[in-house]
Amino acid sequence: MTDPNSFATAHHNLNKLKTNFGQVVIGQEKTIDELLIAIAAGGHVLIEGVPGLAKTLLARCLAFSAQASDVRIQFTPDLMPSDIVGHAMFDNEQQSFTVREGPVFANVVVADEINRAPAKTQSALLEAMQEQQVSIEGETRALPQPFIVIATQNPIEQEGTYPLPQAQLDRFLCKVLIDYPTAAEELRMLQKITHESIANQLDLSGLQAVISVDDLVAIQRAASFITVDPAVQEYVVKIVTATRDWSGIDIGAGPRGSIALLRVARAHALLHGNEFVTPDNVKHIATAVLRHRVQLTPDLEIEGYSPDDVINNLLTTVEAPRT
Amino acid sequence: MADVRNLAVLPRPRTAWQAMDAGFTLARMHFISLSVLWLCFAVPVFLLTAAIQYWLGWSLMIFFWWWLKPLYELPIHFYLSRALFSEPIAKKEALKLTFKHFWLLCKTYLTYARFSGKRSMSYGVVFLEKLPLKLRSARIETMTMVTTRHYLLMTVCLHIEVFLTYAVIAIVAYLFFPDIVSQFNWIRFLTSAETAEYDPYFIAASFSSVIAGALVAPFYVAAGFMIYINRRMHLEAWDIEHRFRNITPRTRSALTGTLICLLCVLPGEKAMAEDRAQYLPSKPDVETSVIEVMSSDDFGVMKTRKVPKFNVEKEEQQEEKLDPSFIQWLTDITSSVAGALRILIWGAAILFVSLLIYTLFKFKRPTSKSSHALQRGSRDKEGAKSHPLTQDLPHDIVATAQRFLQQGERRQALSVLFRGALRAIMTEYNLKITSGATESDCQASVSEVANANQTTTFSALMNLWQQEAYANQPQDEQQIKLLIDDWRDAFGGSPRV
Repeated sequence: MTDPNSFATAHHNLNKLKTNFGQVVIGQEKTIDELLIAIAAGGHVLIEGVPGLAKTLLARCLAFSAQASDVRIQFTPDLMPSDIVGHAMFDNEQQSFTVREGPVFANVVVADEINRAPAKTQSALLEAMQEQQVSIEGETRALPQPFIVIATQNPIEQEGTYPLPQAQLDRFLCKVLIDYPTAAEELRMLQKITHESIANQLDLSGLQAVISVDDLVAIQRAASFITVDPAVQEYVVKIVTATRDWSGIDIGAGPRGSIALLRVARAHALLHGNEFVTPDNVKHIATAVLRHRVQLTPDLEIEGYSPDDVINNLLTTVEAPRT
Repeated sequence: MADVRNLAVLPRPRTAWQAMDAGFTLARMHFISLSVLWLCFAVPVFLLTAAIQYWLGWSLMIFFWWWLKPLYELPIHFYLSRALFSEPIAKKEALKLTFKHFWLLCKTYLTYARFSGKRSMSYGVVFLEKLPLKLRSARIETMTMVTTRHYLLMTVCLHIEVFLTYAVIAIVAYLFFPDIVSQFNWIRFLTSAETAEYDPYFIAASFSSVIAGALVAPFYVAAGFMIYINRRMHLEAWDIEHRFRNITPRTRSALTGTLICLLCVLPGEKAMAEDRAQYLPSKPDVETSVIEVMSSDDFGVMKTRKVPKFNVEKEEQQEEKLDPSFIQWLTDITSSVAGALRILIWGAAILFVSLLIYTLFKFKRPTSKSSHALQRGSRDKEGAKSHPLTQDLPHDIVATAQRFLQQGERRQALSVLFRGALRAIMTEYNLKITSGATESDCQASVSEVANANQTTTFSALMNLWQQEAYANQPQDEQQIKLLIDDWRDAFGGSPRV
């Protein structure tokens, strides 16, 4: 059952975050919404978009706004797992091994261009995402809470990349697409960024730390308490099951997809001030949750359809609850 | 087999493309001779067909000329097969060889193998290796196993070249005879294929195909021949053989060089030579010996020795003599083949169109969005009564909702009202709502078409329904009763109780 006080506070804080993001990131409202929803649902986010669309800025905004520790890791082909999780090194003075923690020990980890690193390195991060802990020299270390990974990847320039396998993509709660801004938004961006600015640095001066890390955890907790009627749960399962039987989909979403969709629908309701989840909440966010969990048939891919097209088509057919 | 040491091209394993390049180079080297060889048969056949076109008709005349293309190509093949081994033969010799193999040509490329997709590649197997029929097919298969697609692509490209050549010929003709070319009736030319009308311009236009063939055919034959040779180089390791055979001359020259060096460095060699000269016979002695030999009885006598010989060649020549009825037979069989070909082409065209239609349906049917949209559209046409949202609804919505409310089943009452409102609006405004439409989708659709009273009632109903159904918050019974009254006003129904 939803606690009215904690719900109201969480809703308020989440909207404060959204407003704060708007101070720095111009346009991209849908992307910001989806990112915040995924974070409120306690998941990791994969952001896909061409270079220069504020992917990294979004991640930095989150960390700054929530006063969380953040780190950015540029994934490259020579990046090793130990460069992410840390390693043990021999201390000459102490004559013993000491553990040096890697950059993964932060609240918000920005994995930039995650598909540029080989599978071994990707796995190290994805294991940390799943287990919320890492093992160094046999010693298990818990990661700070909340632990949020925001990975980015570029849909073009696939040469020399290591595409994430389906099983690993499944670890991301949402895949958020970031598109070009409108002409008006781009004009505003030009006026804002180039004024009294020398280089192409990320300008976070308009940002304020509006919530604390504890507030962020409270948001996630509040989202998890939002009421969900069995009819809505059934609707979630119907959608995910439909992806497995849909003629244009080769491999549909697994049970983790159902779980993710329900979690995210709760967060969607929280962002929009609903104390309960409606089929609308599910339907609006289903594309972001499922687009990276389905694999289209080759003929649909050849015809130029995207997973979004197929999922939207599917959503118009799966019957919404009425009784 | 000719000696691989005499090959005009360096024997080394090449790809099919490189082999074709080598063939083109060979054709360029002997281009004039090859074109003349092509014309040697093509022109007489053309003139013959043109002369008898009155009986054949235009279409059969062109078909007949086209059918005999292997005959024009064969001299080129024989010429190239010798030129490749640095033993060029005269054009006359190439024509003689063609005549010699005419019957074999008739049995193969002028009948069942005319449509072979490997023609110029397989000439070597048929006319040079002369394998028995049983072994020939397997051999051709072996020789063309890995190169067919390259060859087919080349054939298509060369046909495009032929069309380009036609265009060039047309331009050149236009430059010299602009009046005639500009007034030439192409439509009549193309549509009068069945008529037996004689028109010198038509013959001139048809003759352009002979010229185009003479320009392009040498490349076609040479490329196919070089693919064949290249395959043999691969299979029979000609490159290795070539190197081995070249070892002996190289060794010999090396030994000679060594000996010369030895002679140069060995002292006293000159003195030894002078010693040897003392023992040589003198000039008068040599002359006496020659006179003695010439005056002997055996000198200058010619002896003839007769041995039995198999008369194979003569038999072959007898076979090659054309029967007077042969032409008639060939004409008959050509008409039959033309008829069969016409049926085949029609069949292929029908098959192609059927395949096209099938493919279009296949790609539309199972996967595309439009098909699903089509499904939905058909559902919508069935009307609101059979729509999945509303199909199990009772006729009297208000009475049913009131009954549920009396039984304390608020959720059921609100569900019936909500779906009943949707059915009423879908029926009244012919509104299409998909089965996957959620509450906000329905509200958006309703607000577009319904009047203000209906829209307000629907929104209030939707809020109550969502609170009751999804928030699990029991709604006030009195509020629902008021809503039922509003519902009746907005959407109609049984009169107030």
